[in-house]
Amino acid sequence: MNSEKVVFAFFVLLAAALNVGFVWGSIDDPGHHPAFELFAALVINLIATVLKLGDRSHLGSVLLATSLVADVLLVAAAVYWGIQSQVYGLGEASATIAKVVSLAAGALFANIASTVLLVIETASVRR
Amino acid sequence: MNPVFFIVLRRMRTPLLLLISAYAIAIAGLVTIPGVDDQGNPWQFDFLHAFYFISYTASTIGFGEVPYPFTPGQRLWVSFSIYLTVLAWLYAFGNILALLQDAGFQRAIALQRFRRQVRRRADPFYLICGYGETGMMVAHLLASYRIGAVVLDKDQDAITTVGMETNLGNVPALAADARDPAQLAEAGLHHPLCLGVVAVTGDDEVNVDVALAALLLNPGLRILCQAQQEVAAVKLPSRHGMCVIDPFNTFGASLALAIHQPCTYRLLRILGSLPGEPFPPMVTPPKGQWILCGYGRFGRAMERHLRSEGVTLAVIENGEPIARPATVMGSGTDTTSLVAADIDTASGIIAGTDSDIANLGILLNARERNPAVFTVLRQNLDLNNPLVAAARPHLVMETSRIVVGQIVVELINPLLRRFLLLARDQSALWAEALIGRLMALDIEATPESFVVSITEQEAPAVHGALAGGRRCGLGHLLRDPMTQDESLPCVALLAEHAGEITLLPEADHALRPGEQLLFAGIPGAARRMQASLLEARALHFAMTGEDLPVSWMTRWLRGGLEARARGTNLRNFHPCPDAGQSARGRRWWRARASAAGACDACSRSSR
Repeated sequence: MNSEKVVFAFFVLLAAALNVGFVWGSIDDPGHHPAFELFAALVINLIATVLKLGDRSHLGSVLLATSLVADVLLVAAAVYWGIQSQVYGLGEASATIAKVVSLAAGALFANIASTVLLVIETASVRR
Repeated sequence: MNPVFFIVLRRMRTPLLLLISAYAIAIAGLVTIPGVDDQGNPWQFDFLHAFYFISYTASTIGFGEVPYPFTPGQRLWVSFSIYLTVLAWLYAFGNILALLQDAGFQRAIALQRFRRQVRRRADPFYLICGYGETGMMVAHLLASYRIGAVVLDKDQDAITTVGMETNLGNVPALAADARDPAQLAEAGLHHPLCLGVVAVTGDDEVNVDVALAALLLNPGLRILCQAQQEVAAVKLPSRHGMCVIDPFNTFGASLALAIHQPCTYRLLRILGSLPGEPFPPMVTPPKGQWILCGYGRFGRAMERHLRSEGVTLAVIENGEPIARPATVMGSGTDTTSLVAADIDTASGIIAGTDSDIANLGILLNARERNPAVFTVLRQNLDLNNPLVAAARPHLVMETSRIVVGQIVVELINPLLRRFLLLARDQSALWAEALIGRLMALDIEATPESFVVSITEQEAPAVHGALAGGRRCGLGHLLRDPMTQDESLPCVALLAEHAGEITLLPEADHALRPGEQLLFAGIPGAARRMQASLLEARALHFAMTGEDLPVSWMTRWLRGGLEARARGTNLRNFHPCPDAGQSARGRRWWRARASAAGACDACSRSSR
């Protein structure tokens, strides 16, 4: 067992799982989308990104790209939410929540792609 | 992607992970711990404020407890967070700084920069392998002719000195083994603008390796390789573009020449040495019996060449005993060994060991015993110039100077090479006469040789005049276009046109398009000649002594007057099409000229 692979897969899957957890539920219901889960998803995604840095293989580069996409979308969602709640006081408004969740859903797609690539890579290794 | 980027990413992985985790833990804790606002109501950090607070705390800016004073629970967590995040930052910074100072990282950056510089070269360049005394002189020489260079040397110190040179321009340099083909490729061996390779590392074997690699990898290149042919393990194939410089044999051959044709030798030295060196005096090495100190590679080369001149040699050598008659064991720096080699009756002595101090000692001792002895000194290091100058030997053999002199002739001035080869076969009287002409130029230092090509690009005025049917002679170029009465301080050495060579062309030598001319003159003569080559007005003045009008108006007025005076129609008159300064004006005159047919204005000047 390769402990590096364990850590790597753990963070990639955790990032995807947290993302699913955040997106899950009615799209405009603030009760279904806790801010803490978005925070956790963002942090874990960042960690997953850093873990992917420095891999010069082709698959490694694509994995890094998917992670960067997820990061960009999650940061956008968090910043947008932060501005809406702090500047305009619309943090709990259903329109805000819907937009944040749709951004996070985009990140979820990137995370799923990342997971699929991880599975492919794992399946191709015969050790 | 570039390797430096990957090194940074790999090295920054742990610090970044640590930073992200520390921030996440601190922010998460701050958001979950309950606090109170200024009215005593329960209040909790949101993510924005938590991030804001941790950011300024972690970077030790410390704005204080905002927006409300903290509860003891929050303070407990914040104390923990401060240590966590500040330490994470310190660790990250320490890592970045350590990375920047890491020797491997700096090498990677240097390689990266070198690659970029080589790739982006826009002007032709030579690849110089070895930046010792010779390589340094070659680089400066190329820079003075505005030819680029790329330097490889295995010694990092040598590479550092390249960067500190101010008058070299942009010369990419890399500490690398030139024998490695991959490094040669990095240095631009395959670059379309690479003109050739100059292999002048201190080691003949390495030079030969580099030359062979260059020959195989890019057969179109000029290759100059310093190597002694008999010593090199692999004999380099002689083919076009390959030039093996063998300083010991070159010097031996010129010493032999100096013995039987001192005038020719002096001429070759005047023209073949670097410009600006003191004018070499006449030396007449005597025949007879010579002493040779040091019987290494240099000594053997000397013996071979001197023997062919009928010189008998006594050898002084302090290394291993050699089976050679008339050999004295000793250093030569002491009188005993010199006397044993018959210094009192010797006519010449060659101090040819590989130590400059020993050579100087030999010279001084020999001169003390026999003041009339002819002295030849081998100088190994350029930095001993003051000592050698003070010792005043008759002849100095300095490897780097010989190599560089030959490189000038090979790389910069191939016409000079042909001239020097031809000059060898001329009589002593011929050489003496030419030296007289060169000295009459009133120069203190060795003359500068330069080549003029009668082509559209390099000499548009002359080319245009020839194309227009005017007869232009060498004498016209030699006249000073600024004063006309005076001639330029230079001598035409050689004219070459379509393989046909004229040695020392006369003033009435008719120029032809595509002809190449070799001149030697005082520094600045080339620049003064430029005016006649480039500007039709200056050439016209040099040819006829009359000033063409500059402005279109004057030209028109004068043209009209002259035409009227000659009773011809103004429409049929045109000055020489090349007389105008502006391209537009020239086109206009040309168009008129072709419309009017033949005119007599152009033939007037050559009449």
